[in-house]
Amino acid sequence: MRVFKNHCSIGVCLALSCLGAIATAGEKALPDAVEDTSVSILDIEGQERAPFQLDEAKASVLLFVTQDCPISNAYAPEMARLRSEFGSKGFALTLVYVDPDVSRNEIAEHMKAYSLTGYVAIADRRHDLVKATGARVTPEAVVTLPDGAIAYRGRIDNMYPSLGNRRRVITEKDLRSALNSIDQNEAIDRVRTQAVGCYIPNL
Amino acid sequence: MKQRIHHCLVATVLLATSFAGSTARSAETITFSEHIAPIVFENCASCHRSKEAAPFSLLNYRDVQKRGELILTVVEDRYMPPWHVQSKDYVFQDHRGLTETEVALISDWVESGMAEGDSSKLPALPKFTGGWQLGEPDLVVSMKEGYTLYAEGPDIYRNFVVPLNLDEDKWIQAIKFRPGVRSVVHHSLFYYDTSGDARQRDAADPVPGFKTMGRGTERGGAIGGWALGGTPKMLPDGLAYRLPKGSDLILSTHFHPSGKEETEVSTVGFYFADEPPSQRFTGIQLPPVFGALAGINIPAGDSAYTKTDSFVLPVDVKAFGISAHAHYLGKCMSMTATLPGGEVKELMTIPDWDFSWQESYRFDGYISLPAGTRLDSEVVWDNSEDNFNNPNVPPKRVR
Repeated sequence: MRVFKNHCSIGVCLALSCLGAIATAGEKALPDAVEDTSVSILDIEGQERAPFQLDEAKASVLLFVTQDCPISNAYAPEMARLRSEFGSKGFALTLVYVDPDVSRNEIAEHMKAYSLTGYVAIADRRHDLVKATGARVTPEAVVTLPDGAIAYRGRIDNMYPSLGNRRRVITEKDLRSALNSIDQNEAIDRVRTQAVGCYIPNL
Repeated sequence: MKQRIHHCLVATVLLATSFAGSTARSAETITFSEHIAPIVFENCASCHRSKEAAPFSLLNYRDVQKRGELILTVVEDRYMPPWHVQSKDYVFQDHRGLTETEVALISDWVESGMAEGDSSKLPALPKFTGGWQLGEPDLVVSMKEGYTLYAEGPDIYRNFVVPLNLDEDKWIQAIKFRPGVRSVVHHSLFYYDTSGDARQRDAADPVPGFKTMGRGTERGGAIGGWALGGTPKMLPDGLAYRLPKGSDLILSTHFHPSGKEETEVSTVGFYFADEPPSQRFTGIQLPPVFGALAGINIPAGDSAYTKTDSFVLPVDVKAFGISAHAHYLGKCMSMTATLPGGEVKELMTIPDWDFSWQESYRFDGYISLPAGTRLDSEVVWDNSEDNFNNPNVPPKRVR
């Protein structure tokens, strides 16, 4: 079938006449650090969380998501892997649901359907975390260090070069690379990349 | 890229002429109820509503205001509403797309803060026909068992065999395809198989259906297809596909994994003619057999490998539709008709082939092509690293 794979043709249906016949993060200057690291917010279980205050964790990884963005949802398996791999390495990973109208129940159902249970999830209905970090699209990753510095902001990887276009082979896993660098106390190669996805819904 | 440059030039001219209109209407006066809702309801809502393929609804002010910037981005890019074919000489049915004025209006509305306006001026939502849009089908069949696809990974191409158990030949005027899980089924091409080969291949594969790209059987024929956003249509003037008795239906389906595991059971409704048609029609492929005999041999890295083919019509013909097909490396394709007097007509150009949108296009009325008309097709492939659809990184020679 390999021969068949990349061939194409054009067909015309003919009646014989004898019979009649992106969102891209941009413009506004984005913060290099979270100004107020004391920001706290309830997670969907009702527990108070201060995602920028890291007691023991090496870094806080906020993944901004929306429950109805196909690009955000396509990353669910990678998000699940990130939690399992980097959670055990001392990173605090949080899903931040940014649709102002989403309910806690909807979030819980979404996490179950996409096998994301186990994550700490926050409904950022007033966009407190969006404003603190300057996140613009979903999915977008923001990694903060204990001093509030934003060590990495941008895409998870290069699966989507633009809205509506999906790369067949992922060649750059930027978030993983950044987290591995932090884990190994090395400089991050690219601290800012462009996240491609759905703009964060307006309040 | 040629296409994008072309768009830029057109946009420049049109924006220059529409600027006066834009300033004449103060941005504050642009409201959802009066100006934006009619555009969105007419052009977006048929897919952007509950239980349809699009990911979210666009049926009221909040739906649209919440996503104002996203909507503006995709309409400015011409990614939405999706439409990929063009012809300077002919009009296609069911054309989707916004005018420059409509895009400018959305832009002004988003820039000016997205006012809702007087809700008494809100137009009524269009009446959408659910279920079987062409009425109750003559025969409804479904996949015998559900096919479960993974949450992530490469796109899936799989053929499913559905026995039809017909004891006489039938003539198909239309087929309506209903995906079970709209978020994962991207398109499905329909074939019939009279040999039983497909049934055997299905039986030999432990998972429902069998893996292939194409019909996957030697005997039988193509009887249409469905792609995301497509609406079923009757063939014109009583034309019909023959469906021999004893045939199995093959659904050759393309899936996009969605991020979660899903199980698909597709359903198909057939609309049969009461009697055999008095007219016949045929398709012409250029190059034929999906290009399998065209000696395609694309060097790794070649960003514009081109093949052309032509065919002179031996009889007078009336054309009613056109389609194109390519896979990951397809870049652009076109077909022209050179009439016997030498006049060249553009039947179709797809300047920026997107593998994700495989549609058939119906001309608005018949196109008369006299005997002696030469059809010329050109297909261009991009086997470079810049083609993000390229499944080979680094690129490999493709034959």
